[in-house]
Amino acid sequence: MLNSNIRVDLHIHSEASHYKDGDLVNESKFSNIDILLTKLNENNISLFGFSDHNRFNKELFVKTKKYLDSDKAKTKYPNVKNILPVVEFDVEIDEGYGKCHVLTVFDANSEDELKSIEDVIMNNKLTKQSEYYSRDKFEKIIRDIGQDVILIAAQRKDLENPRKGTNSLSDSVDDVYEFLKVGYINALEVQKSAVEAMIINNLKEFPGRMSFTSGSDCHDWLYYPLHDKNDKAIDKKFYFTIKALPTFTGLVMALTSPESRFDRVEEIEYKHLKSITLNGKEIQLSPGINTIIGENGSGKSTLIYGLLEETNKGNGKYAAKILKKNNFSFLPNNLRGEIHGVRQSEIIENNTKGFIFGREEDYFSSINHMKFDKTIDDFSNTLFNNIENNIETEESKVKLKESNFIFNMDFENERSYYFQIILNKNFTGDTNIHKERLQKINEILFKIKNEYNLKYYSDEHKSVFKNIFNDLMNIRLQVMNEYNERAGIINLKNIIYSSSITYNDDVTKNSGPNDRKLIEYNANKANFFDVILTHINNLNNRKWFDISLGEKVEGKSVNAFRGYNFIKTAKYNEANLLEKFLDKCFNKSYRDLNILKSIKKKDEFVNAIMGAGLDNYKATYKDKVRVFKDELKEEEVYILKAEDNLEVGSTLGEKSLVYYDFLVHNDNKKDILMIDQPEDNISNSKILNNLIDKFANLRDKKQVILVTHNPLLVVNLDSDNIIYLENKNGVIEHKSGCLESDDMLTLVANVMDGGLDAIRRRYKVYGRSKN
Amino acid sequence: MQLEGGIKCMEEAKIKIIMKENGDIEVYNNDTRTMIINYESDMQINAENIFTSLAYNFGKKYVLEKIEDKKDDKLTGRYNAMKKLHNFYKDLITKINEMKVDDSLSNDILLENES
Repeated sequence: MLNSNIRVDLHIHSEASHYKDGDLVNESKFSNIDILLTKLNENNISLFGFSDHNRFNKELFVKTKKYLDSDKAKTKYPNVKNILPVVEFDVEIDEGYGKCHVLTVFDANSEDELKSIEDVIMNNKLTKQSEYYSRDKFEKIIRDIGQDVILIAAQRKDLENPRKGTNSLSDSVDDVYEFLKVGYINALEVQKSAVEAMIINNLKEFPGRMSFTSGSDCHDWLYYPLHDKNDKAIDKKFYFTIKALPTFTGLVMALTSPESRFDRVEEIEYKHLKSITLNGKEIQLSPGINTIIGENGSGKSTLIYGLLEETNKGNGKYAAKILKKNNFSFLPNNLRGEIHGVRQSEIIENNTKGFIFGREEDYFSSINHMKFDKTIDDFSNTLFNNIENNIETEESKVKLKESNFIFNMDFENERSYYFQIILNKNFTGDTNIHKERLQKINEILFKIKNEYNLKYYSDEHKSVFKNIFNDLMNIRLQVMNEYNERAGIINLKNIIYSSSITYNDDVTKNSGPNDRKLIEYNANKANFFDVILTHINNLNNRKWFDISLGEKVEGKSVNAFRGYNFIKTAKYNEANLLEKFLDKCFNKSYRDLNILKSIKKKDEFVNAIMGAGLDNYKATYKDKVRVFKDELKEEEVYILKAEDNLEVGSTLGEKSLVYYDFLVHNDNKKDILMIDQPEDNISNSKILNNLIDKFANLRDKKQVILVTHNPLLVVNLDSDNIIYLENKNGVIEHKSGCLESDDMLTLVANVMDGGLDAIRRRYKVYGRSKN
Repeated sequence: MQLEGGIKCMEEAKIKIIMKENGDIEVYNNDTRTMIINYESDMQINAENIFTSLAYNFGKKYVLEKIEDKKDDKLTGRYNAMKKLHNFYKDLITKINEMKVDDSLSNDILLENES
């Protein structure tokens, strides 16, 4: 497992460089190895290499390697872990451009493999200082040696600098950018941070990230990490730092994934799980990215259930049995609150229920329909009143035309002495609203009385009954007064009514003919004035008030959340309301405000309203308006990505990617992210180009634990820790480690569909001679 | 003041109808004017105004005072109209004073069963 960074210096010369460097390297020989190892140990260099000019000193390498593996050296130089065979070749890559230095790291372990490096070079030996290999010759040497290699080209200046003679890659090729793109070179070796920064700037259009290494280029070990005693370099970068095992494979993994292996923080500040224990055996967890792999039924999801403590329902119950059988535990066990867990198929289940993220109301804000309601209510009411006004005014106009009255001065000077009593329709007919109250309170009292008179109750209980009864009697007295008062008024009005009728009859009977004429004259006059006044009043007040439904009403809510905008829109949002309103409420030939304005008769108005009759046209109109409002308030939801305002797709895969965007967003404060099969529903190309980045960006910010069957999420995500589970008759067994550890790559290749392809894709640039 | 059993003490209201010199007819209830019938303009009385003029309360007793004799011959017709209104009130008050409220819901309820 990768838990710490290592320092690497692959650029140290020995006496084997003598043909080129002369006496400068005389003392850099095995008899002085303790001098070098002491310096390396002091500088915490874990992995180093002798990189002589166009030479490989197998004897020095083998002796040093053996010495390093001895207990003595392990005790004396605990920080120095491993040495790799390296040669610094002088190569002119494009003919006529000049030479450059290429550090070539070999994956050689056996004596034979090491001897092969030495032999092939000696068979193609350069003897003069100024000599160099052509590209063809260099490639032939590599092929003849027949081992996997890593090529690191020196670059001592920025890529645009035309100065020659620096042994830099850019001195040796026609187009350095094109050359870097093909991946022939696996890293650039720089010696100054400023140069590295300039090259990064040169490469800002470059696809992917370039790996940069640094080395001491030490020639005299006594002065390590300086070049020699005359070296005054103060800002020299003499090592590079990676998170990898100190092996050739570790180096491959680092250089193929600079994003995940370079610049890793040493101190983790967030909370994270340290280990899981099954059957007494501990599985270490990385604070970075952990992937749990294994065949179906190996116990991967079971672990997730256990860590999430979702063992009380569905599959969780089954998982609980397995976990118990395997004595499952984890440390620290108080971090469950820090875990954001996603069960397998959780996204699919949510999607089936309607909304992939769970509860829709947690993401979408409701729309405020008040403005729409008021707009439609104001418009529909005013329109209705306008038409009714037109009708009323027309009616009063017709009535006025039909009315006539002739003034008679004889009658004008007469006085009637008798007066009629006017009885309005609603003078009588009131009901006594207190009757029901009184009836109810009487019923309660009778019930209490009945209960009280049963023999079962003690005196104490009877006393309670009595108190309640007396309290209620007091209430009844008040209700009774109100009832009697109201009953008296109703009776009185009935008496006035009947007496008035008798009186009016009597007055009419006793009036003489003149009286009756006068009464009739006055009644006609009053009626005539009434008709005039009504029409004047209608002309003044019952007008067509200006109305408009032209302005579009916004019916939209936007909730910005974790880089997305959750938008809800009502149908009326930005819609042409007038057209829709007229379509919904009026028959076809009346769907125009001018036509509606021309309506002067009630029956025409009734004809205009869809589905209306004379007796229900008002209610029908109101109902149509209500239905119109309800229909236009229907809402639809969609999600836009905030940065480009593009709508999130509707496929489960696209939605799943949004879901994961949420999980990895800065606002998600949980320190541990645990997902069971995040690859579900997502295509491999999306996993490669999208999903992996999401999880990779969490490195050193959160602990990630993924259960997966997809090798891309192991190999390309460059998992810090791979946990392989195997179920042997209910007992969960496990192996774990980083990609480059022991046989983990073989395991990934063997147990994961497509695992081999994923590894090959990542590894292919190094395999220059092997499959 | 209330009597036991919730029946109010009789309150008396004196109704008096008079005619003014200008022919206006006024109705008084315990010396408070409760209605005017204007000689110049009013040819009708609203039943609602008659109700208001009585200032009714439950249990109130009404007494109608006699009308004064006619004083001005010019207003004979008006005086006759007032007499008719007086008769109307007389009939009304008689009926009000005899008015009974349905007391089927107001009967006493005793807790103990009558034995």
